[in-house]
Amino acid sequence: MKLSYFPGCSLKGLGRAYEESLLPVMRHLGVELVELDDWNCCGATAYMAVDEAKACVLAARNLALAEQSGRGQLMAPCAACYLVLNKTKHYFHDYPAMKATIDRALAAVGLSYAGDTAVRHPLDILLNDIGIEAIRQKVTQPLKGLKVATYYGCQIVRPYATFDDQYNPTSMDRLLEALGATIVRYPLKTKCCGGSLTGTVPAAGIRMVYILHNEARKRGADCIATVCPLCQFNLDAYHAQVRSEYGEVVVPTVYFSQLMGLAFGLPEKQLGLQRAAVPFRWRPAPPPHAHLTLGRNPVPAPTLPMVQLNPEIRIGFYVCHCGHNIASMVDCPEVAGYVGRLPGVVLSRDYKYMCSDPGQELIQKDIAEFQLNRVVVASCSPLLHEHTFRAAVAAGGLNPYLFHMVNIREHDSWVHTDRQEATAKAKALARAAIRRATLARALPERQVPINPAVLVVGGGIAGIHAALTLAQAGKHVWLVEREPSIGGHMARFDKTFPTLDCAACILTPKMSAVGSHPNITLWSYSDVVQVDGFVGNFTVKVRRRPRYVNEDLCTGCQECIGNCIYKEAKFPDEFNEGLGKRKPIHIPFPQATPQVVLIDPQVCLNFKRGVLTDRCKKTCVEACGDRKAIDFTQKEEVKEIQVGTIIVATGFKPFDVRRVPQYGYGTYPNVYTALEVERLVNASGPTAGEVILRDGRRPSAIAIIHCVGSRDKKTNRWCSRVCCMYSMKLAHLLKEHSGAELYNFYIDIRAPGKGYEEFYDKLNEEGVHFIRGRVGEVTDWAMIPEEEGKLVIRVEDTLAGVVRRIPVDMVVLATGLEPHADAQDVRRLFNMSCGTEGFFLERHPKLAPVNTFTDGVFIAGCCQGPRDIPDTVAQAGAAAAEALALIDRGFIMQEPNTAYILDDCSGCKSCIPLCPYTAIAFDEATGKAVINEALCKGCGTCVGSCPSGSIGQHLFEDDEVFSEIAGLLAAYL
Amino acid sequence: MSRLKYAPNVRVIRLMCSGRVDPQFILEALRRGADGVLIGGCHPGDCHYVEGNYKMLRRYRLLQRMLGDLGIAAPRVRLEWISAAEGERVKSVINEMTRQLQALGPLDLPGKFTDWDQEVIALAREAQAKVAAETEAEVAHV
Amino acid sequence: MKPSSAASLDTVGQTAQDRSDARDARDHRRSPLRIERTIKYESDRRVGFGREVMSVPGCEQLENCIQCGTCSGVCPLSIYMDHSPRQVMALTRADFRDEVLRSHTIWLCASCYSCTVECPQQIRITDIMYELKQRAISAGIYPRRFPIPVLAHEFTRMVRKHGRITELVLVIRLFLKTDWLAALGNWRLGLDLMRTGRFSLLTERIKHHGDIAKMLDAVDHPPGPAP
Repeated sequence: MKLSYFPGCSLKGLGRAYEESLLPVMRHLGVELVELDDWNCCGATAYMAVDEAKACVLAARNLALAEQSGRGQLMAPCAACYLVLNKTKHYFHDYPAMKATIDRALAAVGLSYAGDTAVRHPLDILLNDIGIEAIRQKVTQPLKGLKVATYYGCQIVRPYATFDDQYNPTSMDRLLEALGATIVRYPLKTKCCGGSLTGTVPAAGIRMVYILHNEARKRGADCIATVCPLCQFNLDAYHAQVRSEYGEVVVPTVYFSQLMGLAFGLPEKQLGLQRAAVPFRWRPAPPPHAHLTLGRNPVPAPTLPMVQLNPEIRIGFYVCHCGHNIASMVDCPEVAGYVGRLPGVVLSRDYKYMCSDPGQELIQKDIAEFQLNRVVVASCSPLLHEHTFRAAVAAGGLNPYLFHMVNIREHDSWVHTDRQEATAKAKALARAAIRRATLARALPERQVPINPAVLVVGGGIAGIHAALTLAQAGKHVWLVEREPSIGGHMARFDKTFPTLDCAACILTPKMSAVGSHPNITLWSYSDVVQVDGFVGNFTVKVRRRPRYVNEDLCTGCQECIGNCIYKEAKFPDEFNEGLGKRKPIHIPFPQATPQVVLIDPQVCLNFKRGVLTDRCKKTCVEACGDRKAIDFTQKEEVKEIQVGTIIVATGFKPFDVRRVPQYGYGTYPNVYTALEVERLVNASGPTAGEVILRDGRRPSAIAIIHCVGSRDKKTNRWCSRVCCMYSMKLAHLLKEHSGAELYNFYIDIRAPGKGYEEFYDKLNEEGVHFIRGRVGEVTDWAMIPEEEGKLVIRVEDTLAGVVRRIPVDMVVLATGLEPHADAQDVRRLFNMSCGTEGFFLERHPKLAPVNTFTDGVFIAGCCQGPRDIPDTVAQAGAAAAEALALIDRGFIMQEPNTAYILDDCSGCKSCIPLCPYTAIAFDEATGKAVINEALCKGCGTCVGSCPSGSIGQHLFEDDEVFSEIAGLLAAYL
Repeated sequence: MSRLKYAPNVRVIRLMCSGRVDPQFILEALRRGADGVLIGGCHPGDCHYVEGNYKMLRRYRLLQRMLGDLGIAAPRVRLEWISAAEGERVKSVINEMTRQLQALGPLDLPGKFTDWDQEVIALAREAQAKVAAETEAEVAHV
Repeated sequence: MKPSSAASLDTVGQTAQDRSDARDARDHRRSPLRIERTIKYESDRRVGFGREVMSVPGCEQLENCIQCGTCSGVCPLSIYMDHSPRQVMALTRADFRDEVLRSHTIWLCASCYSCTVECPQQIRITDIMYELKQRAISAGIYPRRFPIPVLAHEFTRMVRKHGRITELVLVIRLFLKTDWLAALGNWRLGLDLMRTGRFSLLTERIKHHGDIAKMLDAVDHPPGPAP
C-alpha cells in the first residue's frame, strides 16, 4: 500500500520523534509512505488568525500537489495539519466564493485542485485499512502491564469527527489494547492542552497541562499516549514549569507510534524515545489486575377554441386582499381590473376580507342582483375556505360546484418577493380560473352515512378521556391499547404539577370507569394493523396479542405470581423503567386495567425464546385452580370492526438519552432520566419512594439538567413544553424525600399555565438553586478534594456571570418528548401526515388542532405535539366533540368528484385493475366498464389512464383542466 | 405555510391526486408555451387514494421516453414526491428546476410550430411553382 | 466582568465611556470608595458590526444565539476570560465592537472547538473567534508586544518567505520581539531541547518558495473581468 505523506513543519522540527517512529512502524506493516514533494506549511491555527482565505490557499496547495502525485490518499499525522487540510476541503466544497479564491491562487502557480483527495489520519488507516488483526500479529513484545492514558486532544475529533466518535473516541484505545497495553479510564481524553497558550499566556496554558498530567497520574497511568506533536510538546517540554508550580505530577508523554514500535520489537533508538524531555522507561511489571475501562460506544391537460363570449355564462370574480397577506405583494385592484375585461366576466371586485360575513353576504347579494351563474374567488388556500364560499354560494341560490377558488396567497403572495411578478402570476391564475369556471357544471351533493361506533387508539389519559366522553354520550367505543394496561405515561408519574396531586389517584378512577363502562370495549395488548374505508365507514383490523391468560376468567388475584417457579423476581420491570424486577408472570402495576396478569414468553420457563415447550411444572396454573384462567395455547387473534370515526391518541416517546453521551447516562450509574426518577420517588416504586441510588448511596446533592434533547439543533429543535415544570416538581419531590441540595440548570424557565409561575415561586422559597446556564457535560474528574467521587457539573452561571464547578451525587436528565419511533408507520395506517418534526400533522395549527387532513380521523394529546395533562385532556374532549358532531348529524357531505364511463368505452379493461377501491367492474352485457359511484373516491387514476379518454370525472373534467392550462399560458401565445 | 420564497415563474394547477394527471395535460402545457412542467405527488406509500402516485410514475416513465424521441430535454418534465410538510423541498425543487430551465433556454413550442408552419407553406409554394413551370414547358414544347 | 488591566492596553479608538472614565478618575482621588460609572450609550455601538461578522460564511448562525451559556460552560479557558464566550457573542451581536476587540477572550481562545460541537444552535463559535482575531489584528487593536498577534505576524512572514516554519527560529524571534527576558527564563527548556536533539536552527525551505508569495498575492488581487 502506497500513500502520500504530509509531515507538516512540526514533524520535521520539534515533533520529529513522531515521524521517526511512525515511518518504520508503517513500513513494518507494509505501508509505503511517500513524502509529498515540495509540500508547504499548512498554516495551522496561526495563519487562520490573520487571514482565512490565505490560510486555505496555503493548505490547498498541498491538496493540489497530492492530487497531482496520483497516489489518491494523503496521510497527515499531525493533528493540526489534519484539521486544516480537512477544513480547507470542506470550505472548498461548501463555499463557492472560497473555491473561486483557491482556484485563482492555485492557477497563479500552475496548479489546480478538483476536490477529491482524501485526507486520512494514521489511526484511521491503521484501524480501518490495515486492521487490528494484522497489527496484533506483528506484536513480538506485548506491552503487558503498561497502563496508558490515551489522549486524543481536540483537533482530530472537533469539529469534524470522521473516523472516530466525537465525545468518546476509542481508536487509539483499541490499537494499544491490541498491543497488550492496559488502557486506564481517562475522562480528559479530548480536553484541550492549551495549544500555543503555554508559550504566550503561560498562566493559563501551564495550568491546563498540569490538569492533564494530574488526572493521568491519579488514574495510575504509566504514560500518556498522544497523536499530536503540539500536545506532546506541551505535555513533555514544559515539565520543569509544571513541576515548579504544582509539584511531582508529571507523567511521561509518548506518541502512540512509539508504543507500536516498542511492541513490534523495533530498536528503541530508531523510535525517537530519546527525544522526550521526560524520559519514558518501561519494563513489564506484574499487574495486580488489569480492568478494561473502554469508553462505551453510543448507540440517528385537443386545441380548444378561445372561449367565445357566451351570453349564458355570467361570472362574478372576487379578489381578496386578506388584510396585508395578499395585498402587500399582489396589486389586487389591478387584478380585479384585468379580470373584469375577460370574456364571460360580468362583475369583478376586490375586497379586504372575502371570508368575513360581509364578504360572504356580498357574494349572495351579487348573485341575486347580477344573475351570476358562476363565482370565482381568488384568495387563500381552498383547504381553508373552499367550503365557506361554497356554502355562501349555495345560500345565494347557486349550485355550490359552480364556484371555483384560486390560491393567490400560499402559492403567490406568501412565497414571492417581487410585486410585479406576483401580480402577473395572480392575473394568470385568475385567468385560468375564469376559463375553467366557464366549463363548470352543476353537481348534486353526495351524502355518506356515518357509523356511530368510534375507535380510539391509545389508552393514555387522552384516549381514556375521549373514550369516556363518547361512551357517556351513548356511543360505542373500541379502545385499543398496545401495552397490557391502559394509563400511558401518566400512570408512571408520582405526582402531577402544580398541585402535586398523586397521578395514580386522579387517573385510576377514570381507568376503572373505562374498564367497567358498558359502552367501551377495551382491547389492551393489541395493535391496529389495517384501516380501510373512508369517513363514516372504516373497516379496521385489530391484532390481539396472546397474554396466555384468558381475560374473561382472570380475577386479578395474583396468586399465580406468588406461586411462580421463580421465587425471586429476576427480570427488568418495564413499568419501573428497568429499576425494579418482575417475574415472567406479572401484572404491569397494581392498579392495571384490565386487572389481568400476563406471561412474558421470552423469559417464562414454559417457553424457549417465545416458543411453547410445555416443560415447566406450571405452579401458576396450580395456584389459579378452578378459575383455569391461564391458557398456554392462546394464539394471536385478528379481529375486524366497523367504525365511523377514529381518534388517534398514541402519545409520545421520551428522548433517548444515549444520544447525548456527554451527559454520562450509562457511563456513570447515578445519572437518571426523569421517568426513572418518577418511579424512584413513588411509594409503589422499586425503592418504595426512598431516594437510593444505583450504587446504594443516598445523595446529598442532586443536579437536574433541563433541555436534554430539546431546543438543540443536534437532537430536537423544539421546546418540549413540560420539562421545566416537571423538573421543578422532581426537584421538590427529591428534596422532600432526601433532603439533598437541589440544583436546576436551565436556559429559560417556561411556566405558562395556571398556577405554574406560583409553583416556581414555591420552589425558590424551598431553597432549590436555579442556575441559568446550559450544561455541556457531566464528568467525574476532580480538581479539588471535595469533588472526589462525585459527578461534576461545569457550567457558566450566566446571571451571576461566573463559571462554576458543582459536585453532585446524582444527575437527573429532563428528557424531552418525541414522536414514537414508529410514527411514520402509524400515520400511514390512518392516512395522516406527519409534520417536519415527526408529530402527527393537524389540519390547521390554530383553528383545527385535532382534525387531520383525512376526514373522520382525529388526533389528540402528545402525538400531535408535546403538551401537559390539562391541554391533553382538553384536546381529547375536542376530538370527542368533533367525532360526536359527525355522528349526531348522521351523515357527511362528500365532494361529488366521482368518475363515470362515457359511451365510447371500447371495453379494453385497462382501468379495472387500477382502482384501489375496486369501484370499476366490467359489464359483460354492454361490453363496457361501469363505475360504482358509492365506492368511487374520486382519485382520478382511471381517468388519467384511459387510452381512449372514455372516462370523465365530475369537478375535474378534462376540458376543465385543458382550459386552465390554456388560461395560464395564454400570455405566451 | 412556512412562507419560504421561491422563483415567481411557476403557474399552479390543483388536482386532487397525481394519479389524475393525464399525459395529454403535460403535452398541452408544453404546446401552449410552458418551458417545463413539474408534477408534485405524495411520496410512494402515502397516497391519500392509496396508489394514484404509482400510476402517475408509470405514465411518467413512458412519457419521458416519448419526450426524448421528440427532442425535448428530460429536465423539462419532472415528477417529484413532495408531502404537505415539505415547504423547504418545494422551494428547493422549484428553484433548482428554474435554474436548469434557464440553462436550457426557452422551449417555445408555439414559436417553433409557427416557424415549421411557415416552412411547410414555403415548401408547398416552391413545389407548386415547380409544377407550374414544368407544365408551362410541356405546353410550349407542344 | 471588566478587564482588570484595561488601562494598560494600548488601544485605538476612544469611546464615550473612555472620556467619562477620565473625568471620573479625577474625582476618584477625592473619594475613599473607588467607584466607576459604567453605562453603554448607543454611540458606543458600531452599528452593523454584528451583521458584518455574521456575513462571513459560516458565521450566520450567530443570529440564533439563545445565550444559553453552553459555550462558556465547556470552554476550558473561560475561567481566565474577562468576557465569557457567551458574552462575546452577545456583545458582537449588539455591535459593541470596541469592547469585543479589546477583550482578552479572543486571544485566549485555543481553538479546541468544544464550544462549536456543543452549541445547541450549531453556531461556529471558534470560527467567529478567528474572525474577531483577524479584525483585531488588522485594526491594530492589541497591546504592543502582545505575543499572540506577534506570533501570527512572524508565522505569516516565515511561511510567505520560505514556505515552511522552522519552529525554534519562530519561537526565538517571538521572544525577542515581545519579552526576551522571558526567553532567558526558559533556559532549561532550551537545554532540554538541545539535549534531545530537537533544537534545530536550520531554516526549512521549499523548492518553489517563490510560488507561495504568488499564490497569496493572487488572493488579494482578483483578476479583471473576463475578455
